[in-house]
Amino acid sequence: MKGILKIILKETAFLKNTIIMIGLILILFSGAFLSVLSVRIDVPNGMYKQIDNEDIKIGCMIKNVTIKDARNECDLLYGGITGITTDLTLNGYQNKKQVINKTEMTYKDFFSTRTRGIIIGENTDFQLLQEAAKQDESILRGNLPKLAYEVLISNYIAQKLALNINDNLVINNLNFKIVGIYDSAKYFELYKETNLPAVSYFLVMPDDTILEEAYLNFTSSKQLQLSMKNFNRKGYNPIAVEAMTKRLEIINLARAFFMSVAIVLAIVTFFVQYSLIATFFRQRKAQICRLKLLGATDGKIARVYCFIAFMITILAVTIGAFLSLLFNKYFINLCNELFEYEFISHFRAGISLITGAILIFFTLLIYRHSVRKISKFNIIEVIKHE
Amino acid sequence: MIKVKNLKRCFFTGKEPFWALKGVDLEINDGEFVAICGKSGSGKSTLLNLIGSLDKATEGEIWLDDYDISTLSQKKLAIIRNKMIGFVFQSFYLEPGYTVYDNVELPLILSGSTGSVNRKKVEKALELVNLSNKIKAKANTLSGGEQQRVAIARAIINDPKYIFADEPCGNLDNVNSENIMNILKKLHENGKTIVMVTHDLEDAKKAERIFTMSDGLIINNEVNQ
Repeated sequence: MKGILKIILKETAFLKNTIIMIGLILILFSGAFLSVLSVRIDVPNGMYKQIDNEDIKIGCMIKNVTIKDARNECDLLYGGITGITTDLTLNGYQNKKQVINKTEMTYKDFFSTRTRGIIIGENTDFQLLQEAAKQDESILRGNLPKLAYEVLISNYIAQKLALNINDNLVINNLNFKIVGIYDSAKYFELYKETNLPAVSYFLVMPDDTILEEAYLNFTSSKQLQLSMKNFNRKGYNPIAVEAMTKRLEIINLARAFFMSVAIVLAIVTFFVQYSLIATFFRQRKAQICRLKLLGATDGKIARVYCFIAFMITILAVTIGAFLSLLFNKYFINLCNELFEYEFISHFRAGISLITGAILIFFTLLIYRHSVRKISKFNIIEVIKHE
Repeated sequence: MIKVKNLKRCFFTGKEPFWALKGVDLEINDGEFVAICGKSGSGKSTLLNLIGSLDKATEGEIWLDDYDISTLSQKKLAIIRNKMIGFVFQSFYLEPGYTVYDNVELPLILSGSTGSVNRKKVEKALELVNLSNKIKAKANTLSGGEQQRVAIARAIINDPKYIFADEPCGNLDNVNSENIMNILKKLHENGKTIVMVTHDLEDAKKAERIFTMSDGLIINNEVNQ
């Protein structure tokens, strides 16, 4: 084997081809990587923020559930409180299943999640907190807001974001001043106790293992603004909940696009591999025949060119891995609607393995084809030509 | 010993068969220096290619010592080419980008030999062809005569029993041809069996025996005085 490696190293023209091949691999690798990265970025933002050594993965907000409360009466039993009727529309992901415009929900749908929030508002929004303050004495520090720009925040969020009374918040280019901090543990109690006219929009997180916080905020126009983009301690750039459905559609479109890019890349990769091998053997035919003349067996020659196959394998596996990632990411949405989560996990792992196996199979196929090609080279023919 | 029995080789050019060899019989003893002469197209190179296992016969037997090479697998033939035969061709067939050393070492590498043993063998072979001073030179920077000497060094590096030379002086001037013939003679004196294809009678006269071919057959088997 040492000797064979020596031949490879000696082969300067071969190395030139290798450089070209490495270049192509890098291009393809970058393409695959970028397409996957783009999808991740677009779901939505893919931004990480370190808060008290805890990663908050903003990109995972796509898995949030948004519930729109139209304040109309209906027969929904809400938090066990009879007489409170709401008309809810749910977009996003609930219990790990994607849902769009879901209107029928149960008590369990709603309260199976853990939610903490920043509440910013006035008038009726304040009633919730005022009720809280009155009934449960849940204002820990500071006072209830009296002016439009004054807000309360939960103790949990205050700790996480290191915010305190008299700090300023910028939301939707509006300045707010934190005047009080309430006990977040009481929040849902408050919510249940009051008649909830203030909570016109609601955001919940079904998957509290990924993200514990969902951020609620209310503007003076009573539209929930979801703080996801440019998540900074003192500067928010929220996205309107109403835009979420459209955003989901756009994201799905983006995913489909990037997945198509990845598939095209995969196909192109195979063609590139094949033509590289074919070109290489055509170019090196004379050399291969000289080696055969000197007593190299087809197997030995194949081992020399095994180096190529090795590189192709790396290429295929690398792209395969990224493709699997992308495939999983996209495929999971479809599976979510059809299967239970546990099944999906196994299925996802299976898909990864199958994808990898298919790619390796193709690589071996190309290699085998190459070896066959070598064995068919006629020494005499080449000698005559030279 | 080389034995050829009723050797035939047919090529198809279009639909018409062309018989390059029409039933050749010959025997070459160990240690002999044999020349195969004939006009262009007489079948002498075809015969050498068949004996050298580079081509497959249409009919007949070729025996190299105890091996009937017309029946052996490609793998075994490759081993025979590597261990038992050294080839010298008119166009040298060196690796142009390799150094002289690398070119001569190739058959050793292919036979699985590596390390300092190779260096000693290569140096010895190059000494024999008087090219020790060019050991680091690239093959494509050498003159024709030098390249042919490198090819001879490469042919003998594995100490093969047989040297098959196809027009070894075909591309060379008189001085270089003389050198090459002297090297072949020296190899013959060292016990190698040499089969040389040539159309040059002067070169052929340096062999012990001359086979003359015409139209795919050996028409004369003459012992040189």
